[in-house]
Amino acid sequence: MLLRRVLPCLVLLLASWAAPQAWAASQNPSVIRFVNGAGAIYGRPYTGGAVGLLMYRRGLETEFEKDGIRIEWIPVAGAGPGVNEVLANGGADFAFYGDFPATVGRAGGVRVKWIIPGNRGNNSYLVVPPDSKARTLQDLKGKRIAIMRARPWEYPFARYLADNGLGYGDFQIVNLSVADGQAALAAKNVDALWGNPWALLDRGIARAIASTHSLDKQYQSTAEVFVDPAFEKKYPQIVQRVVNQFVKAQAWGSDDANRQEVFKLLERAGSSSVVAAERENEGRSLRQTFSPLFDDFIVTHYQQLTAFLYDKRLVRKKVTVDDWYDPRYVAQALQDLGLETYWTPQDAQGRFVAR
Amino acid sequence: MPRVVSSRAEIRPAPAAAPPARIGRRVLHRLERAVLFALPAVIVFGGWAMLAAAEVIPSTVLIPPLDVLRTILDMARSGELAEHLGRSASRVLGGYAIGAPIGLVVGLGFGLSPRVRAYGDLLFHALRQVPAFAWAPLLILIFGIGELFKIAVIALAVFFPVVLATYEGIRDIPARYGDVARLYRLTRAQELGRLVLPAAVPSMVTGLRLALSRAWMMLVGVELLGASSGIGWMMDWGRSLFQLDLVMAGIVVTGLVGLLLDRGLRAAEARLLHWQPSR
Repeated sequence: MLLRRVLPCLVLLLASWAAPQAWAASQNPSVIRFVNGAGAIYGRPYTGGAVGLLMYRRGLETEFEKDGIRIEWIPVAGAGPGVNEVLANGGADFAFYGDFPATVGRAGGVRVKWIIPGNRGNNSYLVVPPDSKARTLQDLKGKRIAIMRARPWEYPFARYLADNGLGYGDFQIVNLSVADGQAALAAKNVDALWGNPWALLDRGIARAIASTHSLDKQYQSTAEVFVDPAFEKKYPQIVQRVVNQFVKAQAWGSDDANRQEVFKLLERAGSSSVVAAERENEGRSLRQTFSPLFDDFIVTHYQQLTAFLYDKRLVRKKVTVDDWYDPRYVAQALQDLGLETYWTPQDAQGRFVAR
Repeated sequence: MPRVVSSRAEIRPAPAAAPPARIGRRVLHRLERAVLFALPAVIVFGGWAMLAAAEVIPSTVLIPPLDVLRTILDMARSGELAEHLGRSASRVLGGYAIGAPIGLVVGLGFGLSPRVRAYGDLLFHALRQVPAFAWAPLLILIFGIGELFKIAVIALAVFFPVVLATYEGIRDIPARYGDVARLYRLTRAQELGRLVLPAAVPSMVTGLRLALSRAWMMLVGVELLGASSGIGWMMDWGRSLFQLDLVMAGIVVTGLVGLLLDRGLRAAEARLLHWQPSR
């Protein structure tokens, strides 16, 4: 009699405790928010880089359609710094942006975890007007060089100067945005520009006298995928699925057969032209550009970059790299997709490590 | 005949020993004014501190007021603040020194000469609608990307409001002033110097004050264009390097300096126009 009364109550109690738990565990997010830090240049959305591959292939949309999860791509104005602001406000679950702003953000208190190396090998160029007499960096001593400061290309610029025994004081450094710098060079208001003015180079309005193609590979910029730790804690399986799709897109982009299609998509996105993309990736397979491996090369890259930023007082705190990244997701993705040997790791100097 | 006595003298009571009470009232009055003045500041800073502490907005984005104060003091101590303020001030004052006098002259031209008005009115009002920044690419082409072009942008921003204020100051002079001039058979020069200009001065002075405020406010934007020092540059630098305390420090300093400029000019305005009955 007592049991007949008590048992239903116990069952009800158990159910009322267990059901919400089960329900919460199976609950997916309704939306996955991905902020893309390449931002906009000349007002057009810039979806270059490895994340452009993922967007083009609609990897996330098709993967999560059956779960009813919406994918939200968040544009930012102001590129890297804009992404830091979005992340600081908890406005995104995943982020794709470059080495420089990511380090700056981490030093400033943005807490995200690095889970996929996105792409490497972004070049910077020292360009001059086509009729300029300057042939080397030394020829430009005392002259005006335009560069957008506190942005990724400041790192290779400073190191390139240092390698040549020079410093900012040996030139007149003019701080101009990308658009203004290119206009200033075209109008000969400055004698040189450091950055990647691909439109000027394409049209022959500027001539490159040096580039990171022929310098230390570590001077080339990179961009990665980061995840919000709170989101990761709640939905680790979702994170793994996102990583799988991203690596799949990188594999597609790395395939030499797709090289021209990749260049065309970069051109359509407004982040480059086919000519510029070919110039960027001259002499290398896209498999090198879109490598998702946490190899010596990329880890050393960040160690050198974080040290540099701290030395130059561009960040106030020293950023540690080892507790920043988590290679497990990529490792799992490579296994799931059967791509363990598809990409070759690079050593600290960028040389491929023989398997 | 009975002496007519002032009724007031008889009815008014003898003055009591008032001095101590009057002083006390004055102090109280001052205190009341001080509290009213400080209250909004206390509410703003207190609210700011509480929001930051409660992490309603993350403290990496909304820097607590004490941290901002520390940043300001550090920069003051290292001389950076003085350097940036000096650069910004030189740009504003340079632009003002060019834009304001030219604006006064052109405004006077518009106000006094129907022919100038006929030729220039449409063009002036059309150009006035163009935001000062929109001139930047053109100015860069003319002046290059150094200090001169930044001063030119500010001069433009100062020019238009001064012209307008001067022109309207003259236009709004009541017609009967002209009648007075004719009545007294004043020469053109006398009419100008003793009637028109003094009547237009209040509007001109207000215009000059507003133009300076505007010039200071434009500073941040102007310094985004190829500067490597200055308060506006400092704020952009802080944003790029995710050191938002620099941004907040810039906001506080810009606000304070702008306030000082405004108050200072208002005081000068009051001195200049003390003859006005309404003051």
